[in-house]
Order: sequence, then C-alpha cells, then structure tokens
Amino acid sequence: MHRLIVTLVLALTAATAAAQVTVQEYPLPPRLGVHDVWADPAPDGPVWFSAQRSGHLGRLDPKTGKVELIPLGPNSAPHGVILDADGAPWLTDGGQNAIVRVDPTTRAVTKWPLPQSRGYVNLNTAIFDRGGVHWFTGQNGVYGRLDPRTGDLKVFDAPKGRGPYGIHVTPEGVVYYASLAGSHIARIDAATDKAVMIEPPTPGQGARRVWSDSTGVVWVSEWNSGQLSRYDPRTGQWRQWKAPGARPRVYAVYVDERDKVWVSDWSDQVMLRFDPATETFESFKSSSGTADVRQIHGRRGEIWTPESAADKLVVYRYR
Amino acid sequence: MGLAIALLVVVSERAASAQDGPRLFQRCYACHSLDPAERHLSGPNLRELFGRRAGVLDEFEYSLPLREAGRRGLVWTVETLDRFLEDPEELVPGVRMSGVRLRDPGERRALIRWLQGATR
Repeated sequence: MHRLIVTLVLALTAATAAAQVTVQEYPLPPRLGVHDVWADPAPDGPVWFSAQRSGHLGRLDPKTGKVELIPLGPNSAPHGVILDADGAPWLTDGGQNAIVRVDPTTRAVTKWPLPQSRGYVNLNTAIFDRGGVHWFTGQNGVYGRLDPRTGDLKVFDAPKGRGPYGIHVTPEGVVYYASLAGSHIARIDAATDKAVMIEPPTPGQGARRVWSDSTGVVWVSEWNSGQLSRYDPRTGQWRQWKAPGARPRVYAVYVDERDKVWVSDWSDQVMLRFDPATETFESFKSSSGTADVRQIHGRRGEIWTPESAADKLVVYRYR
Repeated sequence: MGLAIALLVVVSERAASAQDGPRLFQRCYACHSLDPAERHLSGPNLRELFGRRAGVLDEFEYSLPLREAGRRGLVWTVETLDRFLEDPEELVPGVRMSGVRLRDPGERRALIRWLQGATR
C-alpha cells in the first residue's frame, strides 16, 4: 500500500498570477507518528522523516514512492531530523535522550547520549551551523551543541526554562531558536555560547519554530497567537501578520528559495504561503481532513510536509 | 522459575518506585504543569486530573479526538492513564500527543502513583 503513490494533481489556482501549485501525496505505513521531514537538496533526492511513535528514521524515494524504515533502538522516539553537509541524517531522539546519526549508505546508527547529569531533556530539533557544529534544543529547558569531529557535547540552561523548540541558522551562520513555553526567540552568541533572549511584541505568543530567509531575517510561527512574525536582526524591528481564519494555530514555518514564507495552520488544516512583498497569504490543502503538519522543509520548487494525523508525506510543487 | 519472574517484577518495580515520580514526570514537563497557575503550556494542566473526564478544561483547546473520547466516557483513572501513557494513539486515535510513549510498565506505574499525589 505504502508503495502506491497517490497523485492528486490539484491544480490549485491561487489569488495571484503564476501561483499554480500541484499537490502530490505519498502514503506512509499507518501509525508511524511521522513528525519532521527533511528533503535532500538534490532534485528527486530522498526525503527523510522521523517516525516518533514507532522509533524509526524513514526514507522516501519520491520517484517510486518506496518507503524504507530504519530502526533507531529501544525506546526511540525521534522528534527532529536534519541532514548534514554530507547528506547523513541526524535525529533528535527524545525517547533515547540522544543525538542520533544514521549513515546514509550503510544505515549504521551512531548515538551521542546526553549527559546523565542532565536527566531527560526532551530533545526537540537541531540544525548545523556553517562550521559543522550540531546545535539542538531540549524542550525541558536546554539547548546544546555537539561537535561531530570531536564528540564534544555541551548542554546549556535556556533562559526562562522550558520551551526551546524549533531552531535554524541564518546564511551568516547565526543560530536562533524559538521557545514555545517561554514565548520568545533566542540568538546564540557564537563567542560565548550564551542564548540571548529576544521577545516578540505579542505577549504569550508561543513562538514555536523559526526559519531564516536568504537575508538573515528570522521568521517565527506563533502557536498561541496564530501569527506569522518577522524579526530583522539588523534593525531589531518586529512585524506580525495574523493567519487567515477565525482562530488560527500556526505550528511550522519554512522559507523557500524565493523567500516566500510557508506556514502550517492547524485550525483550518491548511498550508499557507505568505508573500512578504504583497503581505498576503495563499492557502493550499491536501486531501486530508486533518493533516497536523508539524514541520515544513523544501528544496527548489518543492515544499515537503509530514502529515502526522494522516500518515502521509505531501509535496507542494510550484513554478 | 515462577519465583524468579516474580522477583524480577519486584526488582523492576523497586527500580521505578513512586519516588522516581519527579524524574519520570520530566517526560511530561515540557507540555504539562501541576501548578494551577500555569495554564499557558501546549498541553492541559494536570491539577486534579484523576476522575476528570478527558478533554473538558475550558481554558485548553483540545484536539477533536480527545474531546470526542471524553464525550464517549473516557475518564482519567489509574487504568486509563496507564493505557494512555503506554500508547496515546492506541487509546485515542488521532490524539495530538500521539508519539510520546512510556513503554516500561514499571515506570508507568511509578509515575501514575506519584501523580495521584502530585495532582491533588
């Protein structure tokens, strides 16, 4: 079943010109608990995903729809997955309280457990900086860094405790993360490894994920407020846009190669594309009634979404 | 053989007794609070959890499946919480806390025993 590619070519005509987007759905084996997704940058390259409920790394071949599941170990419950510069998947495995790397060729699994003295940190998401250092968040109130070359792993207390969630890096190499429970974003000072808190204007907004555009502007998905917000580090200025709908819940954010901003809204269960030039949202939807898209990733011309409530990976292709 | 198994069970339960509750609660801590004043987290407040129908706190926006489960009669007890923590998706298909599982029965018992006191 999971080999079957269900193609819905929904030519969704959006409000603006040249906005044709097609949607293709890839069924996954049921009840894996797909959480995050990361597309190899090569066109038609594999798309990797974390299967939190079942404890697997997943690999989808978009050309055939074939899905491979790689077990990560006892009690595994991976939240995030990212690729390093060599194309190897790395997972933030909350169940094992460890950073996990999977060799893309041999499928060998290597683990870096967090120090026992830190206890359970609820590992969330990670990103590599330009120097190849792996930065991660732990939702129980930590962030940290792992240098894969030396194995040196450091864990730091986050300001305001619990909440560190999505994390990303700007083209200049500056790492930012969002704190969901702490309702702020933070910039990690490269010289000191300190997290410098930056508070959005909306109190209690629930900053969930962050993504940088090509100019280093940081976009934030705000779960509680239902807003997409924009932070410009050069000026310190914020702007916010409420997502459409009566009571939006904005979960994930991603900026594509044209600096259009994509977010997932759980209230209307839609994908939204925001054009910063016109300050307008366009709405797109798969065939799923409830999708619960927890993360977004992409590559040129494609936006990939893990539908955690529908056991699917869905790609939105645009020209 | 039976005695050995019984001893193993006892050892296992001792390994995760109620005093391990605070440690085990770290699995829940990011999204749930026992402090009645903390109502802003991404999971519902757990104060006075036991005996409560699922999905009924006014201030929390539950997923539809959890609200439906409550309407159908799901009440949080030692037994239902044990099943939920083992595999939330199994007890309430479509629940948003679907991927978080506490697989070890001894740990679940210890956590639930501790929560019975801590949520009062």
